[in-house]
Amino acid sequence: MPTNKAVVDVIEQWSGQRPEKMSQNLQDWWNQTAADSDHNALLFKPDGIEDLLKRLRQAFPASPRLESGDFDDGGTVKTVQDLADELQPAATGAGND
Amino acid sequence: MKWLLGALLSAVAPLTAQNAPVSLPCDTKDLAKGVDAYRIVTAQVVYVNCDRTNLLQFDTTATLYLDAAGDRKPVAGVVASVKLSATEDPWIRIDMTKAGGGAPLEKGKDYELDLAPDGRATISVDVKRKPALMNGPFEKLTVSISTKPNATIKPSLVSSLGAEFQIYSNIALQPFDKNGPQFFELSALKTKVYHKAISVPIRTPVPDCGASATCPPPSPAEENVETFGRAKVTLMTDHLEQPKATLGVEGLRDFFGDTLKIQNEVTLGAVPKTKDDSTWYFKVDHEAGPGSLPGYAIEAKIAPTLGRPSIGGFTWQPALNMDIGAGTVATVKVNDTIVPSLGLTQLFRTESVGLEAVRITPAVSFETDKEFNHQNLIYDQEFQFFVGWLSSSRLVRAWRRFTELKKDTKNKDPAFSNEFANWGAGLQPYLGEELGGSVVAQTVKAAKSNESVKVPTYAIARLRPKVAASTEYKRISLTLTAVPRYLFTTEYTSRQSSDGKTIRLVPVSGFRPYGEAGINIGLDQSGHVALCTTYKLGSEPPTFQYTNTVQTGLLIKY
Repeated sequence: MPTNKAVVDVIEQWSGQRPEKMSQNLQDWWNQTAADSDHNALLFKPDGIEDLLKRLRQAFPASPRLESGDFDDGGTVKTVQDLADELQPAATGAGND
Repeated sequence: MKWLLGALLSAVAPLTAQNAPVSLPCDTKDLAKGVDAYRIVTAQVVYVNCDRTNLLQFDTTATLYLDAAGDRKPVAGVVASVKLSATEDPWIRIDMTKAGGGAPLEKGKDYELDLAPDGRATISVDVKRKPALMNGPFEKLTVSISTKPNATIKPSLVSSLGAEFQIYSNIALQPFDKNGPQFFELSALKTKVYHKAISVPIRTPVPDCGASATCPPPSPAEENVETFGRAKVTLMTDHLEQPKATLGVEGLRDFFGDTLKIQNEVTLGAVPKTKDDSTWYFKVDHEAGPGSLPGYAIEAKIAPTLGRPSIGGFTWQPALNMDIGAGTVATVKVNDTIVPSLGLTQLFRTESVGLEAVRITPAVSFETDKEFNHQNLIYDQEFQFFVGWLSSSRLVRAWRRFTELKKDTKNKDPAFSNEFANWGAGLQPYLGEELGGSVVAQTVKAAKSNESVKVPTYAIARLRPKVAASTEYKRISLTLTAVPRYLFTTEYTSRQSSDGKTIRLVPVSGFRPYGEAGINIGLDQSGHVALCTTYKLGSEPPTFQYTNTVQTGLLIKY
């Protein structure tokens, strides 16, 4: 189950800097950290999202699979906190069958 | 930012006492209206989300009050201690005990917690990967919590949109049977329409240990605190298709044994229904050329990136590129190309500041024209290069300016705006190769006579370097695309006379450049809709008609 710290670690590797807040908007963070970085020429959509999805799949293979559409205007992932929320897998074997 | 200033001062002079109270590094306001503000796990344990990612230590006390603001009264005999849930975790844990036993929190009530009520706390934060102890005194922080049984239902990920939903409760859930909770949607007549569904907790629920008993504390935060109070509901036979719906779930109980009230409006339609990332543009042009009557042209590109990876991290990418004329454009030739393709794409980041990334897109494409006179099957291999020093977009420049303004202490919490930068520019190189051939020999007739010509099959081997450059000033952008294509084999196409009565076979080989220069004026701030004028010069496959036109029209791009 991904901890918040583990999710923020992925964001730091992805963007080059560690966000201070869980409520940090991911697209703003990507653009804010772009200057003089290793992703200055990469747009958040589609390039940044694609790279983030790849990192999330590697870091949290048991988590639900996100898609690029989840980061769209109508998607559920806007912030680091949203990302941590969506990556939580359902409990296996929990609940009373 | 007072806490950060405090931390920095503490790092420089940790023994220097401060008189003015500083804020606790706990930003509850940004999350207060969301689903992750706090979690009540038992009648003794509450977690509060401080939103911070750099907390290393957070030791203080708290005071519990019943009700809020002016009406609040301290809950007698309750002692509360506050600790960080885990290092660099935003959640703090508040453990409460009541003198003489019993539960500090009771169901169905509003409470407030004052953190650091005496101004004392031991706080350590990470500043540039070094721990910094913050000196007090600290300002008291009031946090509102409620044991009223309210919860929220939200849509799930795009891959399961309309079929899977998430429940968020600020109070931990009691164990439940997967078939127990009932999912319903509220019809237009305000009646409940039930759908067969199963529900599972996101984390092991917290069993009721008796309202007045002291419950065992939940397990340490080796997992994620926010998963307390969460469940996933999956529809078994139905799939909601409407853009918005009022949905609810009955039968889930919170830790206190109350049935949760879960009913709210859920938006389902804003996400593309195809589950794809919609990358496309559509342009309708009015066209003019030297000595010609005006005509119209349609240019479209649809290139959705499918979400699921397929082979070695590559993602499927079907695409349709179309540039065709419609109407009369006299002697002026327009590009007449329709190219559907199916490819795979993947971005490879180098994590260096020079060549930042390469996007590799192998694809199989079918080149034709609107008359279907060409049928070329092509293996198209493209490399797109992202070079950092060739790009300085207006958006990135605006964020750079915003970051500078934030560092300036004279500007307190400036709001970001695209207007922080006026200029931007970028240049992107590509390299592609097109290998294949014409798969069917075609007989092409002249438009206004019975004359015809047979276009034979032929092999195709082309090198396609490309450079795309752009400059933007506010909402105006200038674009330039140059494609110095080289044909290593001889291809064939047909040419009609201007009166449409004669037709001849034309071999095409060697250097066949094509270029476009355009100016776009954005009509909306996001740049999705623009007025555009494009000058096109050169020839493109499969017809290789020489084009020399100016097109003006409306561009819609997402």
